Amino acid sequence: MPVLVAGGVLALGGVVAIPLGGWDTVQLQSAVIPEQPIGQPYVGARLSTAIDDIYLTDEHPDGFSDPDPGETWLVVVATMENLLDEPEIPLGNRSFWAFTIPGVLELGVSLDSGSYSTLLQRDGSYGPRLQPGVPDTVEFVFAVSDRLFSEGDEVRIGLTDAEKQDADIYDGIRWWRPHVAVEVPVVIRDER
Amino acid sequence: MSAWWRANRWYLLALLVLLPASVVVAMIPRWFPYLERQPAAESVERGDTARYSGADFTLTGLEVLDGDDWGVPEADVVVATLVVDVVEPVETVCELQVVSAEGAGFERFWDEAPYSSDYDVPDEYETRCSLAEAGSFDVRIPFLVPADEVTEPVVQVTAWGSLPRVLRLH
Amino acid sequence: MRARVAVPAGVGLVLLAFGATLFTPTDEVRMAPFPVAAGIGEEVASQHHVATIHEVALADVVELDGWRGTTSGVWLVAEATLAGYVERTTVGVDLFVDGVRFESTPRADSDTVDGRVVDPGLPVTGAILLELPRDILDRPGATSAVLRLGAAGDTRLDSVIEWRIDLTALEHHAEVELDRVRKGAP
Repeated sequence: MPVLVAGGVLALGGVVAIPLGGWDTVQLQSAVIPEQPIGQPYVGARLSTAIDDIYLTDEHPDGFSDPDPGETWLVVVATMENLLDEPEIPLGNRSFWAFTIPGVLELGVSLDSGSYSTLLQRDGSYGPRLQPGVPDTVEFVFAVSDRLFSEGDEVRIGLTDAEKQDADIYDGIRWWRPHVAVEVPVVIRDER
Repeated sequence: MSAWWRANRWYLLALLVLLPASVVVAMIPRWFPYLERQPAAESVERGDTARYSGADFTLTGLEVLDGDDWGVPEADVVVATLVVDVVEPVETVCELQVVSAEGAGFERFWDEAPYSSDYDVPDEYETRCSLAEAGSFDVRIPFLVPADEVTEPVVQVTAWGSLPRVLRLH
Repeated sequence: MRARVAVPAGVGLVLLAFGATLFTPTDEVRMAPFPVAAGIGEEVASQHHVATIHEVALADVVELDGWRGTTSGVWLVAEATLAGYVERTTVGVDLFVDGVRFESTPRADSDTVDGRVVDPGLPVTGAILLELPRDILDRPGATSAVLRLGAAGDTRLDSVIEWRIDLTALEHHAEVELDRVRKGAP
């Protein structure tokens, strides 16, 4: 009898743990990150992202900004689609950037707000916000040292993903364990 | 069943009194502070001086100009002129608004509009009411209000540190 | 209490407690804004705005004061007259379809009637533009989309004006030319 009761309590505890997340398994991450070619979209939980182009230039796409001495512009062109129910900032934020560029943009590392800008390619408007389900091509312009990259360098752009967790009691989304999901090897062009 | 009611009538009566009473008692710590936070306007006639947020305010001019003459035919231009004498400097700016219940039947507020019409404030007047430095200065600020709706404007002066108290000059 | 009732009653209570989170209203419900319903062509007031939407349509391309707006989706175009109600207020516009929120476009700078401040008794008339997905008309909620006007930013527990719009009944233009914001009613 006591065994039955103990077993019953344990079973009940196990059942109660289900909605509280106690049985979620931990995904093992493979050591090798898969590759995909430029232009192919990766469908993540927040965005679908395809890298279209990457190049160095001294002429900012906005038509007038000049780089600081010793610096140049690194432009990444990507086509993205917002897969959520709310408008989204294309680049994301420090803990969950939409993509990574070694030496320029890394997960968990903030960017100086004056050192980058985002433009919509079709009309050059600043600070675009992706509406749910409306794909568009975005130009991300980063100020980098002019000695960081040169023509012909191969760079592995990381397309990121994370697990979307909806809060139960309050309104909110948490992005759990942002990581690089696929890498896109690209060759940097120099348009200077 | 009626026996139960009769047997418990005093307890039920007590419940009828105590339930609303407990709601009232629970609300008291919220109600009176709420009342105290509501803006309390101090009325000041033109020419009189009132001390507010460490400065003496005097309304010296208040006119309503026809917007047709100033490039804004849909509006009237209210021009308020004040003398501000900062006695105890406070690191704050006082905000001026025109208040009127004419035209709508309830109070409406219009913010400073120094660049919205052809009315240019002469250089001898300040257009910003800063209370940060001791001394006296003249302030003149234009406002845009709906045309023909405001004949007796009131100028409300608000300094954030002195809320809920505000001055109303007219 | 009789034992025969007590045990099932106890189990029932445990199940009720277990399901309590299922019945708790979410933040979305508890913090919802207070809407005033409006029809097209009707002047309506909330605690912040006095607004009239004169016309709503869909378009593939919009032109506004020299800016040519193309999209991979489709534009929702509205013409509205807005004023403040009690004091100077900001303007924010969103569209909801099946719980998905679309916001008014930041692409047209200050040439649309949203994204600015309005004063009481001093109405302004202009365009409202939102980008929607190309397949929006196929969605079940397209017949009962909600256009919401409130103060910009956070509208939780705030007074807003809402128009219920059947997107499938709207005229769909290839190109629409719009005027900049102007003072007064149209």
